[in-house]
Amino acid sequence: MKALEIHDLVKHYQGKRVLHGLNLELEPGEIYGLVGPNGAGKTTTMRIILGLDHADSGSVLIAGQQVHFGSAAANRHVGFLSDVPAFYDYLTAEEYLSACGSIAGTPASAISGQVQEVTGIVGLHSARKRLIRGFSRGMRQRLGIAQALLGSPKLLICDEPTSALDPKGRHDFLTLLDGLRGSMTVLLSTHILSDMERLCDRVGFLNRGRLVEEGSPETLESAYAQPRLRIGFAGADQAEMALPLAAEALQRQARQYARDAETLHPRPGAGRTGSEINLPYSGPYEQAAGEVLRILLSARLTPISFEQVSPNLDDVFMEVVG
Amino acid sequence: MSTSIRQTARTTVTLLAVEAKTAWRSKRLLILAAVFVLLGFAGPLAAKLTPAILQSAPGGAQLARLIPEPDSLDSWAQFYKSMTQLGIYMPAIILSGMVSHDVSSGALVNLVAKGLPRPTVIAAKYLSALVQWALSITLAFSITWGYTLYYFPDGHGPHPLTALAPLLAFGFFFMAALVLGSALARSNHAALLTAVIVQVALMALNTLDRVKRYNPVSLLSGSMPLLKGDEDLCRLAPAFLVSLVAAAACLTFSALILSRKRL
Repeated sequence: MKALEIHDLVKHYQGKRVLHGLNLELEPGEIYGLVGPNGAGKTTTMRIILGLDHADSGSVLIAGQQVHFGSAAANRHVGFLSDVPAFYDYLTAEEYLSACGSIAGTPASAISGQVQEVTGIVGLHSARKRLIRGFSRGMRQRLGIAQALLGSPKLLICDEPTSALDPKGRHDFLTLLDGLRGSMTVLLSTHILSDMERLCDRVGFLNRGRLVEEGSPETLESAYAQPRLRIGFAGADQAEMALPLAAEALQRQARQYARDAETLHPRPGAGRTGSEINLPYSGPYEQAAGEVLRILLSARLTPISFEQVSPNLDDVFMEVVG
Repeated sequence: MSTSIRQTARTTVTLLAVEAKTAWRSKRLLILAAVFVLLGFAGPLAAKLTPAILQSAPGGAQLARLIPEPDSLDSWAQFYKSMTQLGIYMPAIILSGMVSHDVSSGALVNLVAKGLPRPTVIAAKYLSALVQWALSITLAFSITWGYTLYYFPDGHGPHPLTALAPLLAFGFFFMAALVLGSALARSNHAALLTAVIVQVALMALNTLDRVKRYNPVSLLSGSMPLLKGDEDLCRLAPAFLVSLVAAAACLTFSALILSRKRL
């Protein structure tokens, strides 16, 4: 049985179509990243899964159980962490988590142990008896993680979970999520694609309410993104002169490579940022780098740095959603 | 008891505990208690001191001779006057954001995502508001009763407990109207306004003789005759019944609204 199934989900919001027949399936135990620009429909999708918003048509099943808007019977085994979670501020963290456990139907005898466990995991054990209203933003986010993990849900949904965290908090959260791999299914949305790359078994690109591409980060990177050369110069004027020369050299090399390999990859344009130029290439690195260096040196343009940049999800994002 | 009923009861008790802790720690209960303690003292004191106050005013001595000696009925009349005005609107102001605040702050999101049925939120909010209001009324009533017995041991109002019943019955209805206003509205002010509009509409209806007997608002003027023993509680039975039915209707409507609301 799939951990989550979404079939032909359609949603209009304020007269605008937000989801266009979205289909998505998550296997038990996998970490799935949902990527997309603002307004792509990520949060709407998550809210519909949680029964917080209604779909115009289509269906959502959590572990085979249908989700209905306003009725949260299917949500007992779901943990949810929003970007800025809100709480009852006059409760202590321990009281709040105990209330969450009780609402989720956890046996009374098990709640105390679970609260101890999750406050320990998120590093709030010493602050568990303090009122939430005195918590910092980071502590509130950690409390949000604790309530989401309470009762070891089968499906954990995280909407921009690291947006309010400092770098250490973000690192700790990602490590925590990594540790959950295999034990629960995780649906994660974030704009920080390096986090996705590090964590996710599969990534889905949502654009204008449609899932336009999905696969493992490695598969997507090899299918879409091209490796690039990043070349630095002493000044912006040198970089400006170097850019057309290097681009032309790489185009020649690419044509040669395409003839040899009988394939021609699509190539996004080259660009300059200050004294640095950035160019996509295809074929073997040595061949491309050698050709560019030969042209640049013959034009008396000597780089001060020369780097091979591996493709990543940011590049895939730009190509898929761009 | 089936598992779902047991879980619903458990969830309601959990939410009531959340509400109680919030009311206590936010000092909402303390403010309510302080106001109602003052209102409790105000009735008997106003009755006792009114002649002295009148006498101290210029030309007041003659006026004071014209009005009869205050008795326990004056004390109770003052109590019911303040209870049907400040005693209702003060809690309404304090409690008006009970649903709308939780919706607008997003505090319900985590709990609903954990499986909290939305109608349970309405039930818990209503019970919590009703208990807070009833405790406040009872506190003021106890103080007024004690001081009235102390200052005016005349036995003119032999049925104080019976006389409290219509006010409490109106509270059942008014708190439900307040919950409905709070479920309908996005802000505290709008919630309060909705409850006030409901009461004003009922007051307008009270001018129609045929409707008066069934109108919940008529309960607010029903206490003094009951206190003196001039009337029987059964005479107010239709208004009691309508209040309870209207309260149930308000709560059902509130649950439907919250169930369809985007959190």
